Amino acid sequence: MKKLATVLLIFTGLSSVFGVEKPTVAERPTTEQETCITEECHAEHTAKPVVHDPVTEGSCEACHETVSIEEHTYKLTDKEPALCMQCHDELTKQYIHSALDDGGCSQCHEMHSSENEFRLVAGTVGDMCAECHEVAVDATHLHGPTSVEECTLCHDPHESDHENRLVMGLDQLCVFCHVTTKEELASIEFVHEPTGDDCIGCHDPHGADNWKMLKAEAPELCFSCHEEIQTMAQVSEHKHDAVSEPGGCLKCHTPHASSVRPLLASVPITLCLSCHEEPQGMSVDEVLPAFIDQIKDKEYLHGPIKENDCGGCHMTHGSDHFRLLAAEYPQKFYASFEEAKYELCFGCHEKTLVQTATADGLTDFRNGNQNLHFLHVNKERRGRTCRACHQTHASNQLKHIRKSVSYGGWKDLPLNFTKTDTGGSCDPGCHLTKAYDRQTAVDYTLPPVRRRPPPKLRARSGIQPISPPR
Amino acid sequence: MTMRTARAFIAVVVAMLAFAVLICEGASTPQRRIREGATTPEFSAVDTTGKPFAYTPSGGKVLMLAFLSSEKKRSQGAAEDMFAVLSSVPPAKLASLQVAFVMQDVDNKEFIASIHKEAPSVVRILDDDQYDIWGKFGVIATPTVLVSDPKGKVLCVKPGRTYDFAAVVKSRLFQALEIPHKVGPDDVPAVRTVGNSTLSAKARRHLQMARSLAKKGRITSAIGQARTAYEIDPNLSEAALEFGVLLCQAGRAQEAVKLVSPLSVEGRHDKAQVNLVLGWAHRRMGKLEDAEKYLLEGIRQDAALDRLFFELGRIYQERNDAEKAMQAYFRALQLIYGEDQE
Repeated sequence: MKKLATVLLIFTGLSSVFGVEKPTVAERPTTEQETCITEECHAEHTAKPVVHDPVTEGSCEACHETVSIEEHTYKLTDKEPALCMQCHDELTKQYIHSALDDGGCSQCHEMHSSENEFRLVAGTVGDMCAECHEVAVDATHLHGPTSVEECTLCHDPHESDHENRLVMGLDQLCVFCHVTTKEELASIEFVHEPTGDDCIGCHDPHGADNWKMLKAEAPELCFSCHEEIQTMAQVSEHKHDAVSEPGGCLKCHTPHASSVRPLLASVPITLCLSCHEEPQGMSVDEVLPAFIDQIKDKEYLHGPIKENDCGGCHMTHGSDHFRLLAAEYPQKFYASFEEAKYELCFGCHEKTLVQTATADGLTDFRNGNQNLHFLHVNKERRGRTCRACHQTHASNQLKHIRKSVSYGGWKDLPLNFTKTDTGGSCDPGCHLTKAYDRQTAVDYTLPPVRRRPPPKLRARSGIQPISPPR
Repeated sequence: MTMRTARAFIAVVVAMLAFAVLICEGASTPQRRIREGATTPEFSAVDTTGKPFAYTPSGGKVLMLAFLSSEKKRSQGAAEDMFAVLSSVPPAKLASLQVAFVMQDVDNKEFIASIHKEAPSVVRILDDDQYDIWGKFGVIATPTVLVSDPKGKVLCVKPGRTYDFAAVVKSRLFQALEIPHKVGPDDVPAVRTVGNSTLSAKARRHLQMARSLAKKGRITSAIGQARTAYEIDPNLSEAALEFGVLLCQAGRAQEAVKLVSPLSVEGRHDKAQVNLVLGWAHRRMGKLEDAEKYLLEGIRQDAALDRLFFELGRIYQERNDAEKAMQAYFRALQLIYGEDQE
């Protein structure tokens, strides 16, 4: 018998640990009717299913004291919430529900009995909170806890050490449910800063009219912090329309974290090709050809293309340079040489490439040690820009050398470039055949032998009469 | 006839030879920049502190060689990335590593000073103002980073501070140094992002809500969330099991049995959870023998699952077997408070 009593005691203890199914009202101990609550008097206090323990036990004196037996008058033993805290834990945390000051616990709880869990005055937790708080009214996208009216999943109804009486800090609260996000954030290198503890910077925690409960749609939402990008996108001379379109930023960036900076949703070139696989209308009379055609099946790619990184040369948000280039680069076939004009190319390539007349290890495009890049580009008049010989994105020749270049009305001025182990040669429309050799320099001190027809003959053969570049 | 045939034959042979020469020439046309898989050339230079630096592929050391320009933002960013990579290398491995930053413009004192200040001591800055090392490796742009293994084999030549620069350099360096790394060199190009919209992610959110509600004693609401989680992803066994536990808690034993019985789970813990739900539910249905069988099976699968002992205790209690009930409850208490007697 003693053992069974011990078992019962342990069971009771364990029950509180495990949260055993609650006994129904019928299972609860009955109260003695010798106090205030009898069939005749105050019976309504126990009529509802959820009864306050002192009421169940008939311990009315826990809260009430007699004023006058003759006049049958009573009063509360203290004011709320001090009255309730005689039994319930005191509120000691920083943020206390204002309802406790304004009207006390009875603002939300029935004192004797109720139809509702926790003796709430209103039907559910959500109904109770809605008595005073209006959140996400008519919002089309609701947060899960809001939609099922479970406010206490995030907010403590009584007190908390966290602002807005959150049940835990913002760095833990959201990821308590969003566990997959938490796990992924821990394993992905580049994380959007607000993701750490400021999800509500972008998301309305109750609900919003925007997808994913965003406080605004991209790009406006993103611009609220990334002002410099907004300026670039809206004020630049050349704008990237994709940025300013609805949802703009999210076409390329992922909002939480990515294994590649700057929070890209995919490999850069894949993102670019998601639009530029097709021709893009630039204006009424200008169409940007499909970029894919420039690189498809090409054997030799410019470094950034090979690395799938269009951002190596292009400013994806907007630029003051044509074609959204990241820096200055001459637009035309010829340009008098100035270092500043080639800022784009010199972002990766050495400027000495076109600044020194002689070179050894610096470049392979040399005749002996004569630097032929210098020879072509570094001219006061009619300096050849890089595009004269190099196809910017890709070609089927080494060094992505062009097969031909558009020159004035001549759409396909040929280059006829041939590569050898120690040099190469060109037979372009620009000049007579010229060869170069790094080991044994080709001697150009002898007068050249003209073997191409003069321009007049070309004109007769149907080619546009132009002045040959010199 | 014979003469003509012979001439024709010779012409064909000459043409074929000429074609072969052309083909071979094309195939052997050199690419300037050193390729991955090639042997790293040996080189030497003097660093900015005046000390000699020499590398030879037979030296048995891993080489990280970075061609940088002090005037270019990308080079500065690349240097920062490399510092971060180097800081993640275990100190014991640094002894088998040679790191050199090759620059042509070492006169930029500010940049050099910043590198000296932030770089690990293993980094040496080499002055290559005549482009000798640059030419030897066929570099054409900065930044370019090369990593070679202890046998001198080039593992990677990474030009430009591209989106995957740091990841590629790190994975290749760790490969060369034989340091275990979660991202393999061939896995780097795959972009990983947070996929919080997957079905599994959604289901787990609802499951967490269910757990929170259950903690607050809101069993009915918790069941609603657990059901949602289970319906979103029926393959998520933890959702089904949690749902089953909540049904037991609410006294909905038959539903719990119906839910859990067809489950096919892997792992001893999950199997024990299934048996817990079945045992618990059968106890609620008054089938104490079956319940005991399930619970004992669960204990064999995971003896650290405290609720199994608690439920077993309740069975013994219902049978008025105080001795066994006490034993089971005591074990449950030990597990809850971490006082494992074994």
